Amino acid sequence: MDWLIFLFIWVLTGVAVFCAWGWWRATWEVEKNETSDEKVFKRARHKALKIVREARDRAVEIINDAGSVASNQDAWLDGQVRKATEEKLAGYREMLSKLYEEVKQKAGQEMEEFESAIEKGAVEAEKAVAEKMKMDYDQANAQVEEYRTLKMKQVEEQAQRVMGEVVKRVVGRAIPLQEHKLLIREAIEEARRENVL
Amino acid sequence: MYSDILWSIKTEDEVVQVLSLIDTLINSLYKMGEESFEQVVTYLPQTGIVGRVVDGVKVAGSGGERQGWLEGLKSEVKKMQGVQLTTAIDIDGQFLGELKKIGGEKVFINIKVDPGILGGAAIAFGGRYSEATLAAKIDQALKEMKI
Repeated sequence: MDWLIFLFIWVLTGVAVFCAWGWWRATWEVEKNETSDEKVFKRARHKALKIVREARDRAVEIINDAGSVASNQDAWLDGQVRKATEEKLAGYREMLSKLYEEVKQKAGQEMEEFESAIEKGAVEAEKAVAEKMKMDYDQANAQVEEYRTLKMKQVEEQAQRVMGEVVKRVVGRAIPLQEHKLLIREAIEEARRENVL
Repeated sequence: MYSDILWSIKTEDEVVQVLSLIDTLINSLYKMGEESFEQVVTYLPQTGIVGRVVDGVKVAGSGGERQGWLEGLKSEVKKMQGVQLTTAIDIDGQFLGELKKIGGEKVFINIKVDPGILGGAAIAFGGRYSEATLAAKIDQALKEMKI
């Protein structure tokens, strides 16, 4: 019976030891776990901080680089603009120069043509004036001639009328009655010949 | 039949006179008393154209024959055509008779005096015209001479 008690005690002690070991083990596991989590957290935090720091540094670097690039870009752009402007200016200058030459040449040509035209025009104008004068002179001559002819005709007609009147008055008074009758007979005979009667 | 009468009609006045006479005689043919043909005839002159017409009617017969004769004369007289004769002097009856002989029996003459033509005559007949005046001849001669 002793042994049973002993065994019982023994077993009980074993169970107690086991329980105690189990409790210790569990606590240890918990502690261990806690430590591990903390470490992981710390490590993660550390890493995160590191990343953030690096990122910040990188950002600063990028910003610095960006500023530099921007200034470089500005300078490049300025350079390009300047270059382009200079090229354009050069082009414009060349074009203007070309235009100037063309205009000059054309103006000179036009001037020559204009002078030639003026010269020709002057000659033609002189010719036209001469022709006009000749025409006017001829016309005036023709008008004078026409007037002279008209006047001559009028004078002739007047003279004829006067002469006719004189002749008629003289003849009219001079014709005797018998002569009148003879003339009337002749007129009637003439009318018969002309088939008027 | 009417030739003698037509030859005696020389002017337009005579044409009118004859036509009037014919109408008077025709009207008198069928009337009695003072308006009868016999009475009317006694009032009329027995010479000249009227005398010739009255003689002609008397010779024609009586009644209808006279009327026929007068109608025939009227028709012939109406057929006569006038000659417009412009002369420088007035023409007497005798010379008019001479001119009538030249013109023909179915022509009567209208005389117009225009001293301006000096002599000769201007004749218009049936729409035709002939100017044989002394004035025209002098004008023509002066024109040809180109004075």
